[in-house]
Amino acid sequence: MNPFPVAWRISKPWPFMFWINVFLWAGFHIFPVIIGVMVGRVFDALDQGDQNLAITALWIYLAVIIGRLVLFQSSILSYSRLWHRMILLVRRNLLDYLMRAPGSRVLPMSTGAAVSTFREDSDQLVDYVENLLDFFGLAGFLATSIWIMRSISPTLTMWAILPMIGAFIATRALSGRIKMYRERLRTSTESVTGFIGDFFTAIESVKATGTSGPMIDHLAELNEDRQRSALRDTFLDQLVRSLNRNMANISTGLVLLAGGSLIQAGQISIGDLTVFLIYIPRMTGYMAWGGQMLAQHFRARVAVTRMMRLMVDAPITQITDPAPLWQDGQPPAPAPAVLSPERRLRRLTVTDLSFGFPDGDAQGIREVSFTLDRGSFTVVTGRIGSGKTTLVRVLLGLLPRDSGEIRWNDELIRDPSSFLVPPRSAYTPQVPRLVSDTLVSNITMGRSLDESTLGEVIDLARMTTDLGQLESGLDTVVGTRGARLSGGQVQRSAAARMFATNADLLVFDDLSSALDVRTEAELWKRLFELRDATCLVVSHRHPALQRADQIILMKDGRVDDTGTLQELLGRNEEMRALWEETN
Amino acid sequence: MNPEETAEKSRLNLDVLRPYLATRRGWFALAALSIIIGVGLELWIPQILADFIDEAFGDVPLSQLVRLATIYIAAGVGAQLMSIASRYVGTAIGWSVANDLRIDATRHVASLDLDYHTHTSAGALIERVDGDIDAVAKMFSHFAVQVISGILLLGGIFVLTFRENVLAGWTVVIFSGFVVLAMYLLRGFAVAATKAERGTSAELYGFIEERLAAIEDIRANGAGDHVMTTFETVMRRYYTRSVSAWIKRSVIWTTSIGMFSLGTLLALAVGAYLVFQGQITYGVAFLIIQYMSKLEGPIEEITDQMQEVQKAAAGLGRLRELFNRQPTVPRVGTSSLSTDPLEVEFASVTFAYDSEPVLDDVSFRIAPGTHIGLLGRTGSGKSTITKLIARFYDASSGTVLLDGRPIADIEEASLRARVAMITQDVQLFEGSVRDNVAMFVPDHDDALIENALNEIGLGQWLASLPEGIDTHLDTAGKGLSSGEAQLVALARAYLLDPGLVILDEPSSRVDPATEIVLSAALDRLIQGRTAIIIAHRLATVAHVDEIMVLEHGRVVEHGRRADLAASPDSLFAHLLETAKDGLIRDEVQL
Repeated sequence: MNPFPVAWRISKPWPFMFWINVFLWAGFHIFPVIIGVMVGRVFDALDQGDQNLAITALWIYLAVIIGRLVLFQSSILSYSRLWHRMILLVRRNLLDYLMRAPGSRVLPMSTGAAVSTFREDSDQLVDYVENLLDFFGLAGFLATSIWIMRSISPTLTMWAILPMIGAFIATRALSGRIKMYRERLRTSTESVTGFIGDFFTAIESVKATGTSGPMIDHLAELNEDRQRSALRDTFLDQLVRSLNRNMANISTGLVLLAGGSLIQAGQISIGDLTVFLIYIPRMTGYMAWGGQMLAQHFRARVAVTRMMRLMVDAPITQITDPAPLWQDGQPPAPAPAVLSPERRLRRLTVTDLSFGFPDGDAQGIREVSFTLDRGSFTVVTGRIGSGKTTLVRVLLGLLPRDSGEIRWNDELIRDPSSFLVPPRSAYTPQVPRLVSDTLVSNITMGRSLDESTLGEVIDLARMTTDLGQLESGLDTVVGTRGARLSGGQVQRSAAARMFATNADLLVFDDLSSALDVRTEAELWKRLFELRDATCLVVSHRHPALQRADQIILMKDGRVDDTGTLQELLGRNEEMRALWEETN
Repeated sequence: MNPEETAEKSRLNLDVLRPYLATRRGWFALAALSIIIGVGLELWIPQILADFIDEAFGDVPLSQLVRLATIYIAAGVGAQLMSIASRYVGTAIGWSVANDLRIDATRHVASLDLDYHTHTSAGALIERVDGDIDAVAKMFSHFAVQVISGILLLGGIFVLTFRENVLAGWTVVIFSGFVVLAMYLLRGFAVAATKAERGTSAELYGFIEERLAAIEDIRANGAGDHVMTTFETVMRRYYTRSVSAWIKRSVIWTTSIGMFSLGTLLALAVGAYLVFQGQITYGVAFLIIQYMSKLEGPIEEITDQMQEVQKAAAGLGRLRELFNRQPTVPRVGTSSLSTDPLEVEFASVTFAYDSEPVLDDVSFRIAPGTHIGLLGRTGSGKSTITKLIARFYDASSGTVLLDGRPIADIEEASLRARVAMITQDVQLFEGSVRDNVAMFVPDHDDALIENALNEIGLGQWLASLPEGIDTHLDTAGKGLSSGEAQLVALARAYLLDPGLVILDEPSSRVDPATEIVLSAALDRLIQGRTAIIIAHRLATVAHVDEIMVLEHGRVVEHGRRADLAASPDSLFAHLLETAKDGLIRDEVQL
């Protein structure tokens, strides 16, 4: 994926800032051309014994330095703002797509890897934009300095530039190898740290078997391997660096070699020579920088590809679409939405729903059909790995179905992930996740609830006792991912969060670690007293099964049987076995 | 932490390193030689140029100019070669010292009491034996080479400029002093702002990380809008703090750029003045400019590297602390265990941990070949019993006897070979199947390892592997299910051919098919051996000969399983009744 159009679009919301920066930085980079000329003037003045000329040149030199500093400081003032806006725009757009775009959003990588895309890949892209911005200055400096050198002596200019081009080409030629060595160093470093980590994690087994000796010998081998990679990497890296630095010496040397006769012929003045001597090291630096810019293009390409992979099905413009980063004054929190009576759930019909995990490592579901009537209580049950959780996740659009139909009343649901949300439906996953905020924000999720509703929600989720135990009740900050609450408290909070949405369809994936059997039975009872809700519950517990209007028994990803508990116990061997096992 | 403490910690103390450095004198000499020649050439190159300028605009034959230009190129190439050489040697020294240090540190940490490990996360230990030691390695590869050549270069420039002209010399010296002073004064200018910036960026990534982890909760409960509104606040805070940190830092950059540009101007002005005075030639004037512009590199490198030195010093300090820590369980036993199933006996064993009693006067005897199930709530002392048998700790009072001998008298190697312990969490390593079963011990026959895997029920799995036991298991056996990992652990124990097996059964559920394979494997492993099992599955307890129930560090019930199950008021019978889902939970009320 070509990163150039992406980088180009990223500055769109701030065209003025972008172009101002282009000009300021171009000035910063091009000004030293004048410095070279002034040094030349001073030496010519020395040669001619012209003190006034020397003094004038020195003053101009000083003015250029001051001007350049002013340029630098003002570009930083403006660029720091532009840089942060660009990077926040990219990050915001990624997060926005994952959180709000229609369709199923399963992270195609671990959370850690996804965060590093937010962090490093957005950095790489914005650094690339920075390079584009600097490119004008770089090209400007090279063009003007070459133009001045040519006007002094085309031959010497050629001698000065040839080695630089050579170094540029050699560096590019070596870049593949550098990358390979870097990669090898990275993997061998990972092996070492990985092994040390595993070794200490397993220290109890290691001690018990008394095998730390041979294991440390193995570590020593990994160490050696890493050292070899590191030395190879250092050598090549230093070689390339000095190739670039050394070219300044070689360029200068060649200019001296070819320049001797020109100087003696009086065609080159001392001032002319110093201009060359001043320009050459700076030009070599800029050539090396140009090479790095080229490399950054490829890094940005990888970064864009990774961002697109994270968003799975987003158009590439999603990365850069203009969006307000923040509004002044937060909008008031909305009250929970309510469905108009004719849109409320009368019947949910699921027909032939199928889904298979792409890598086949977990149980998918095949041709699952059932209906949920308003106010009914349906339990999905089955053994571990029979596809219960997958079923509710596919239903809610958290996983993309392969085929099948879902209808809300008579309406066909095209995108369950944006349709089966509050006020229509709400969900408590098996392992709910909270975020580091107060308990009450975790429950309301930004909706404004009045005191009595909140009280009802807390009561329904059986959280009253918990609140007494927490230091600041509802205002307790729950810690990272809810770490300061017990597992049961997290799950009860998640249930409360679901009740707070006041949705028509409530989907629970297994409350067994949140509540003991008796409390769970009370919860169902209260829920039906207070709410006109339709429930779909994954459970293997007796109170839920006994209360169920309908049980969907899953086996190997298919519906094995559907019916009431009595019916299933009467005719289904698998149901009887499950019922016995969970006594 | 108060500033004095920091200063104390970051003072460089090379004690820990001394033994590692002494053996590498030759390498150090090589590094020193390449540094000295390199710096010498770098100082000489501007002199050649100065000579060239003077002679070119004087009256010398062209051949003389060609000679100088050629020398110039040769010296330039030489200087670069020396710079590559010194960096390479520095890096080589750094890595080899770091590797030796890493191995010694790992060995030392591994020898420390289990107690130390339970209180120190593997992550923190990686930081010690890898992170800190890396900082030490960098000190050699970067600091030593760069700072030493930087200092030599600076010194050389001062001396050589003074040699040309005293005024020029003072200009260069005073200017350098001024720059160093300014850098020193500005050093703390942006620290607080940068710290605040780090804080908000951590907050930003933390926010993103938590929301990504909760993506299903958020989407299925329609909280996307709420997330994005909250994110605005986080972004705004990040923007404000981070921009202000950039701007503060830019003041330092501007000052540095400004000072060095003024330096060159100053050199030019002084040079021009001296030429007009007739004190120096053009060539020397240009030489002064060149020397002045050469100051920037070393001064910046020295300032940068000082931070690295502080990191290395802090790392060395932590390493010294680590090496000073010593294991407390003495390993002096000499007697060997027999090759029969082992008898285990606890005679009035009391064990206190941080003066918290964990085992209180525990006595029991397990006859050779008996299989016993240990039950009790979390903290009742079950795992302490197994850890005393593995001799991770010594009893506070009383004696643990194996094979009729006090455990302290038994030779370490014999104990490890005869007692196999299988922990709840099985850690696999990146390496071959052989390495994982043999725990990297090289001298096991292939046939023995294959036999162990077959016996334990992994025969089919082994047959499915492309390279048999030499198949590489990806990063710590990611491809294996937890049931298979558990089987690998059983195979490890089987390979040892122990007289006593201690098993802490995983408390999580596995699928029924795996459960059958696991219990068959366990049966095969403990057959003809003494076995102590901390059981979590009813199925496992169904097979043992005896049951021992612990409560608050005391044995409250010990007897034959069949007898206890039959007696209606035994704790064991009660527990069987309340156990759910085929699992015995630690929390179950006895």
